[in-house]
Amino acid sequence: MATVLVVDDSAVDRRLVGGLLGKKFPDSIEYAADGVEALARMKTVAPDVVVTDLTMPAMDGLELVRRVRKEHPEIPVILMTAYGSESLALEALNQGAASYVPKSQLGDRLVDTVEEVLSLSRADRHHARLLDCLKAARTCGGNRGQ
Amino acid sequence: MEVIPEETPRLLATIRKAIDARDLAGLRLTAHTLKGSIRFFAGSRAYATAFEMEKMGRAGNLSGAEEMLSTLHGEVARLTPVLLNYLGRDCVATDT
Repeated sequence: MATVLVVDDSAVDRRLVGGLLGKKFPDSIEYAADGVEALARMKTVAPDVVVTDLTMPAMDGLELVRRVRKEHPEIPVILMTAYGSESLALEALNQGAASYVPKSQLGDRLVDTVEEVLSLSRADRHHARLLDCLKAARTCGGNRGQ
Repeated sequence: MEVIPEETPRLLATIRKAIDARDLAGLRLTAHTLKGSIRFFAGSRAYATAFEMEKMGRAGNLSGAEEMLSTLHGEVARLTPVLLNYLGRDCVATDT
């Protein structure tokens, strides 16, 4: 069962997003009120995906994307954007965010987007493990040939 | 929805502190959060006033902030009983 970390300074939106995701990911949702709190939580509970608001105090979503890409590159980040934040959303995608969902479309798109990002993330991890196995096999085969 | 009556007093108090401290970034961010929390009432004066306060913080001009905050308190107070009624709860007066 995947763990989702929801990051938003609005208690209303944390409840809303938790409610939308809760049916698909029961008992697997963690919360943080801003980017600083999110990174602190990720030291103890490694989520499979982060869903974050863009505009937050202390550390905004864009900076959170940068920090997660640096410190937890295997964990994808999905942004939730308010109307008028499209240029920031694009910047966040350039910084490595996996996807974004406008807040006006959370009901329609959030769950599908999270599932899709998780599926791609699992595929990436399988691929990386396969490459490691192939490298290891090649090394052993090379050593045996010596 | 039930979180809105709990969250709005806290956000209004934070906006008050931001104005007192002339914290423009704090005003912008908190007004933005409040606006987002009541976006389900996007046609309301409360939403419009929160948006104006967010723009005020972005523009760096606190002229009229006191009057606007007073308006915001009043408009949120008008929304609260509507929301509480929808939620099936009794209205509770909040300090402005």
